[in-house]
Amino acid sequence: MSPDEADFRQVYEQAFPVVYRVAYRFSGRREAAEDAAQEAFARAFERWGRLRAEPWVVGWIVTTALNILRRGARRVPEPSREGEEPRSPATDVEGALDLWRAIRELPRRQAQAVVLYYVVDLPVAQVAEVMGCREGTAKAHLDRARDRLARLLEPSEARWEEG
Amino acid sequence: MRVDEEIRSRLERSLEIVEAPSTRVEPVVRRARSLRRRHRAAALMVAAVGIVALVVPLVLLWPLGRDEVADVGPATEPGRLVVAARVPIAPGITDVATGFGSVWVTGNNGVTRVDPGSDTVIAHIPVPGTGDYSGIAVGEGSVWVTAPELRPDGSRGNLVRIDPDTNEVAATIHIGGPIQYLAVGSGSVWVTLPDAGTSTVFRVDPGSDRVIGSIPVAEASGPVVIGEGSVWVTHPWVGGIVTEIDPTTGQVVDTLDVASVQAVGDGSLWGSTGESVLRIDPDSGSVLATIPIPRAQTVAFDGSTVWVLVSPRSSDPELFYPIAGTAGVVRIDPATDRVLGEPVALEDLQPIAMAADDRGVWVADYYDGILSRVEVGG
Repeated sequence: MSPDEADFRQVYEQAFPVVYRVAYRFSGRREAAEDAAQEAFARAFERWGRLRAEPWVVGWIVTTALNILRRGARRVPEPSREGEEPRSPATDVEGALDLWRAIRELPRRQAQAVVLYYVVDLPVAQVAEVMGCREGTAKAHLDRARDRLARLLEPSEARWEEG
Repeated sequence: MRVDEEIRSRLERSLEIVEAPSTRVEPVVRRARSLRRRHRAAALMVAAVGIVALVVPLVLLWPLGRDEVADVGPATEPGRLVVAARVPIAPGITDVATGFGSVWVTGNNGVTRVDPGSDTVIAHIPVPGTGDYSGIAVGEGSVWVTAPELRPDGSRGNLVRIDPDTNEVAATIHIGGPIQYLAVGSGSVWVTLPDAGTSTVFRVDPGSDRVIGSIPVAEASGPVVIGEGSVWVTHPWVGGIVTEIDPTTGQVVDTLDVASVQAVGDGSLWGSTGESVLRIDPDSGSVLATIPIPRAQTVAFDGSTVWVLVSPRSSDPELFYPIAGTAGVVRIDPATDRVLGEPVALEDLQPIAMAADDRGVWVADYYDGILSRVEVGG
């Protein structure tokens, strides 16, 4: 095994679960999420020489998986959300799923910024690098997305305050 | 910040409960190798076509004695970019293309043909209506020019086909409206008609000289390029999006959230943002590399190198008062995504377009009407 491959394998093993999980939350389809995650990793390995040293490499792979899903969705009808958890008002999960629904409905750049910042945990400067835009632009996407998502959080926060 | 913490923790919880399948890395590595082979094969094909396109005109021109033309470029340090020639055309030139062993420049009510061997004008072909927004492209056996402005016959918005064998207008195809940008490829000529609302990309059949399709796209359609199996239309005034059209169906298949796509090469799309050059994965639309180059205006690919035209600096922060000597050209190595050497400065006040050939790039300056040849010295 070449050093490149060993290096890639390590990133794959660490990051595949998160790439798959985000892809699943966007598509609601396990097979599509797995295919998109694997294809994104393949494209990363194809360009490993350029990507391997980047601190945002996992962000790039996640973004690529989401782009692959989006482009694939052209040919596939609306996702069936086959494996989505049943709604249960009492669980935390419901709130989180509502949040994912809200993220899916955001403009694509805002959704990308949210995933990179909140899920992959990249600093804004690296979010901007992955998105190929200025730091200020990435920040603006995040601010707009945060405003929308905060509205979704408001009722439950208010409930907590009351409680 | 509380909202940030709340969003982060809810997303984390929702991801934790998704069971990820256990997959092996080997199929991914195999898939990557197959992608690599496919891209290499495509690059070799492009290089082979480029060599044929270069050699055929040279062989044809050999009996005319072009081999006796002296190299007009100054002696320089090897590997350094130089302005090797400045060819006066006329103020108001708007676009440049290379092909059929020549450089073609549009604007100022006509098309000018320049011989790159002697750096001299060898023909001027009158094309009324080119005005200030004419584009030019080469392919399918012809040179194609948009003539958006009013012509003496009262028409506007014509696509003009020039026969490179005769240097004459071979066809005028009325489209209508302020058509501007165009590209030739996938058996068609693709012409954009920008509009404040939905704009249109027209598809013209070079065999019949007829419009065979019109594709509604997002507002303000701009530059169009073809490659990696798609037609890419940049919408520069709507915050940076690019429409992808499938040339086999003529349908819009996707929209990329990138500032621009201005060239295709080395398996990637290339665009500029005004402060950097973007390398974009054509399959996923993801940005592969962001290469900071202040005032990067447009990008061209010559088969092995990415060339970047840099706008002049302005002396005023609000209005554009260009400073002479601050425009330039710089190269990027697609193997490393790094800038190669130092940029070369241009005297141009309004460099408007750039086209690559086998020796370097040609830059058209709208203000003074000069066509500059930039190449690697030594």
